[in-house]
Amino acid sequence: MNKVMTQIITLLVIASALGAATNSIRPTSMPWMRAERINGSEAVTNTATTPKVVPVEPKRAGSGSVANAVEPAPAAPAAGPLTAEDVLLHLKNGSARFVDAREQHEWVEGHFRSAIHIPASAIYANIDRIVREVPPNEKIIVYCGGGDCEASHHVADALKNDFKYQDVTVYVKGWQEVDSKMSMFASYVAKGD
Amino acid sequence: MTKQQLAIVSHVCALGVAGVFLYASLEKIWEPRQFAMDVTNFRILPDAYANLVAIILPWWELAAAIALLIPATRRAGAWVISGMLVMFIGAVAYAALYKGLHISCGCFGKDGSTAAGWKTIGLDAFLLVVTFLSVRLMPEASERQPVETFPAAAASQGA
Repeated sequence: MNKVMTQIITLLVIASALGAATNSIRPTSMPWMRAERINGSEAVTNTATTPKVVPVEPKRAGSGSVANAVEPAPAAPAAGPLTAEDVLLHLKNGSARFVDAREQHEWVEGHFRSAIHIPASAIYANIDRIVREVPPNEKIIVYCGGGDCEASHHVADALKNDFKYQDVTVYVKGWQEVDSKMSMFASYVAKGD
Repeated sequence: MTKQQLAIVSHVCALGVAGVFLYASLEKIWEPRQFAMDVTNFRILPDAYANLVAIILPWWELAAAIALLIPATRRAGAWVISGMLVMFIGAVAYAALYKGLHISCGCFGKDGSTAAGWKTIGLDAFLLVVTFLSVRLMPEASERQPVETFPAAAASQGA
């Protein structure tokens, strides 16, 4: 019995050491302890509360010359957790890239037309979808089903820690809120693949 | 059955369980963040510890699976695998059946399609039985004193 116990302890110690070593040398290593969340929003929401104002292109006059009058920029979303109005503003302005962290069957049922699909069940298998077209300094808003869903937090965490995206925000209320306010979002929503 | 036939059955049982655990562990080692998410979804551990479990547990599965394949370390491997299976059954029963959470079992890493529930409990219970057989049918095990054998085997011999 002692021999078996010794083997068990050896087995677990070696395996734990291998796990620790692999994690430390992996290019996308995970922190041992997960960061605590702040007010129901992930700590990765770093610069999310200071959205950039999108400059508006000057309108060209009929003669082709650049007009002096510049259309005022749409109001920037207010600080704090993202609301439906903030999300709508970003969609209108194109001032953020949206990442849908839900699974395929949820994506097919409805998603933001401009969103990039990175299901949390296969983050690394699909990461190319965002890495090849979104630079690391661009604003990214990640959403999942809303409520208690974890998917958006994991994708946001990976984008920030593993792929060095600097401005990642989780839209905590997620698709649940979009669905309940569909009349607001209808023109930005697509169905199917 | 002859001792040789029993040994073959024991090896087949060990091979089956080890194969499942090897597959499950490699998927999780490849994508630990997904497994961390699955651990969090169970809402048993504090969120802070999900990464720790996701980094270590898949390696325990891998090591136990390899140990189960080697007759000299089969009992140790069986103990570790049985411990993990009992833990998985408890976790699924608590989260999916008692608390009613609709979550992925996280059994095979990024395969998020398997929902935690009776089916996963059944699979784990089946693996537990096969693990027991892999040790119980080993010729060396059947020749030893009950105390020296895998605990469930000792219990059955005592009865």
